[in-house]
Amino acid sequence: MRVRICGTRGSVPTPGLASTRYGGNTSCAHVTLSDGTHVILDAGTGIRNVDLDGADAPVHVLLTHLHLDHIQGLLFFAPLFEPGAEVTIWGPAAGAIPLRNRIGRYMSAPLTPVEIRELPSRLEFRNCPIGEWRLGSARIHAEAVIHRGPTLGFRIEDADATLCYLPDHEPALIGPLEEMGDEWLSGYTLARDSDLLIHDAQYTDEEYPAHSGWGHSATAHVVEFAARCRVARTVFFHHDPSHTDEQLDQVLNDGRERWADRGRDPATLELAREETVLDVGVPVA
Amino acid sequence: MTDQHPVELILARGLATNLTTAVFLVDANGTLLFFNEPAGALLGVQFEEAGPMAADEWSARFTPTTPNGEPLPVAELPLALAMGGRAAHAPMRIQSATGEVRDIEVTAFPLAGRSGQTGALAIFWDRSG
Repeated sequence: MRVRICGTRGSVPTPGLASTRYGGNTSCAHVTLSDGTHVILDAGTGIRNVDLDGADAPVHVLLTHLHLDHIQGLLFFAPLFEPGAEVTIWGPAAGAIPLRNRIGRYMSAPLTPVEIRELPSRLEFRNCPIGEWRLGSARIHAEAVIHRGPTLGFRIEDADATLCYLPDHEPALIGPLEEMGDEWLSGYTLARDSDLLIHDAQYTDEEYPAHSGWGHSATAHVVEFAARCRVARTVFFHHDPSHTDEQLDQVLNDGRERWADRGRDPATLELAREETVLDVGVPVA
Repeated sequence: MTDQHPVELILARGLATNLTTAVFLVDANGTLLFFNEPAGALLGVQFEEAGPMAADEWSARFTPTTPNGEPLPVAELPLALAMGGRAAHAPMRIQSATGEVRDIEVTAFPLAGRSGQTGALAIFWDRSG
């Protein structure tokens, strides 16, 4: 399984000189499964960076939730404008309103010049099943996690490798993580023993108290969560738009110090950076 | 290997922890998962001491009866009805772990998430005066 980070930022695109190293596009990761199936995790503005390399195989877009920073790039996803291209968009169910209609609130006038019905691709919208299901060569496990509004996290198991994707997640909303049993830890079943965890790390520990309840995590939370879940490699994701590259360097240093304090190799904790390619398990040819 | 509870139950526990009303939380099997401090005051034991317990265990331990002291079948408890998918309310009498008899009213409702009913939650109202 190969993961290419296409957008790292949370909340709002953050172009400019202060974000050139870690990137300013909002959340998106392109996963290539061992059988070549393309899975796009979230459709922030980073989806414009997705390179399908001319593949005409079906594409699956898995949306964790429908906040704008996770769907804004949909209208700029090239396959949607290719006649005959097969694209399936999976997202969390919410009440009786179909996923297509909910996304259509964004992809319609007056917000956009193009309506969903005008897209020439073979576009399908499907409620993402809760629990385990198969997609290409992978076993997908989706569960609701703590964030504002209906939000999913994903565990993707493929060819003996496991990726966990929790871009917007605030497990500490319930209380101190270190005082919680594993059964009360949001996202635990998805993340445990995974080879790679991509996790929300929007705030510093100092910033978090003023943002408690906004649906995101602080550095200390991610380190504690990753350690509890026995994750092999952790990538901080969903960078706060107010954080410059230099501030993110400090977030990384802080995280690595905490990781090392737990006896873990600091090199196994990283910050998401646009265009980074991460091989999980056997490299994809 | 431990599985986490559905997020609806995790959020319900988080809410209950911060309430001053007495809350009692069970999973889809009726297993007691948590009760908060105000509920612990009524039941005469705190959750940290009591711990999780199966439905037949907690229903026997707190011996709920009608307000007149007549036996109350487990199937007629508001929580049992809530487990069946509907809200329920009933006055009852319980005996706390310390032997104290308390008159309470119980309001229970199902917790249904996107994957179906994940449990039920009961609120205890102390009517002992």
